[in-house]
Amino acid sequence: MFTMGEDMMKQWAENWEKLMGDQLEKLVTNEKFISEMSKSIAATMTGKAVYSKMLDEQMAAMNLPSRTDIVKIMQKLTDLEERLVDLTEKFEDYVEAQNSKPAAQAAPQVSNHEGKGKKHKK
Amino acid sequence: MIANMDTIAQQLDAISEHYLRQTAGELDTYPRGVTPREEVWRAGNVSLLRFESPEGVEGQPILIVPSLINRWYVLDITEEVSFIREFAQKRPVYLIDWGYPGAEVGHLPLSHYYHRSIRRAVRFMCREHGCDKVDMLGYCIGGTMAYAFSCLEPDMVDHLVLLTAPIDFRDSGIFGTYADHFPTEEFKQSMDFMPGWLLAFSFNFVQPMGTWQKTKMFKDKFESKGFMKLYNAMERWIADPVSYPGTAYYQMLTELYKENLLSQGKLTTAEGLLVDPAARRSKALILNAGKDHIAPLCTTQLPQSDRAPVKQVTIPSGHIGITTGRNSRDASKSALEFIMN
Repeated sequence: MFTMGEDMMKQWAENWEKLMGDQLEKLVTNEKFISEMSKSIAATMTGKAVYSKMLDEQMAAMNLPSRTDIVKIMQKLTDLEERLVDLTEKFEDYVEAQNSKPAAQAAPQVSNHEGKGKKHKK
Repeated sequence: MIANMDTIAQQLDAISEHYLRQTAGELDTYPRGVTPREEVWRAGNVSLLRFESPEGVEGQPILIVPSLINRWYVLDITEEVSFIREFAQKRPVYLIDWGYPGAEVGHLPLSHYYHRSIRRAVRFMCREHGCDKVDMLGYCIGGTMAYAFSCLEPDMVDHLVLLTAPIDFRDSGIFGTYADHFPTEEFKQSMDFMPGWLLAFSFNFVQPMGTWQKTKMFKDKFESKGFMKLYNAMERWIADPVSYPGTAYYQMLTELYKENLLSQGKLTTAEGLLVDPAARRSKALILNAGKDHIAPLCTTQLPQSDRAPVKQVTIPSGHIGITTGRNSRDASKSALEFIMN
């Protein structure tokens, strides 16, 4: 008797899971539903943009930096760091290229350079 | 009577809070990745990790490019299922850790990640090991980025493993539908980044019965130590979402999901370089998952203009299961065999 009741519960749970799964699956893949949800996200984002702009204006009126200003500065710092990394790499490559030049090639270059230097001195 | 009920409710509340805190505390002690590693290079949020290999392990290094959407240690979740651990037994292994991007990198384009960052990592590895190319494995969007990189810098990549990596976004399933409807312009105007919690929510959303099925599995298997170890490690990983840099997210949705530029050979970097699949020369392995709802099988196919040698292995699992499930060993073996030959 108990086993039968347990089986019935199991069966009921399985049916519920299948039914819910199918219905929710239909819902989250429904183009109309996705479209409506996107409209709601779009409205929230537009609201956020308007609110941020208002805050920026108020902060500017008080001569205080807003979040947007601080983010802009942080992004400038990121750009500077990126530029610095690029330059470091270029410099390392240049030094490596200079060091790896065969001695035979490097020697005349040094003499040319010295020659130019002497000319300059004159 | 009501007062008693209230006391019982308060006590239950206190007990559940106690256990929730304890569970959260335990989860927090779980390691983020199990293979010992060191950070060898860093620029901003992005860092390059080198994993420990046994003494004497040499050869062409492997670079792992994880997804930008989640944390990298899904590839190193426990000692039993770890791509990284397996690879590190045979070759020097490096991984790009994208970190936790915030508003400060919201303006960086997608090509900053798939070209500039990967090139820096490869350059470091080549200098370190005295080689001129590396082997590469990209997972999910990391695979898309690794593929784009191999098109841009064909001489720098030898073997390329694309682990459930969407390349052709023509029919990209449920995420394609979401991307088509996503208000990209409003997003661009208002957000510096796509918040991690919202991304995590959207992943739950496409599998509405996922939590229920997970709970059922937990109920059936919670007495197994092995299961609980993996379960807790996975929960730790799920509870560690990352935000997606704003401009890069906008470009991923518009240029990849909506316009499918990569597959058509029309994608360009911020510097104006063309990401041309026809230029790619590295040997590629498409390692995809048969039950993948994030990168369906058809999205993992390479463009026709790509003439480089390519192999394909399909593992019967899902998008995450291929890295942590019972077939993940087969996946990591296939990848390693391909790289070693």
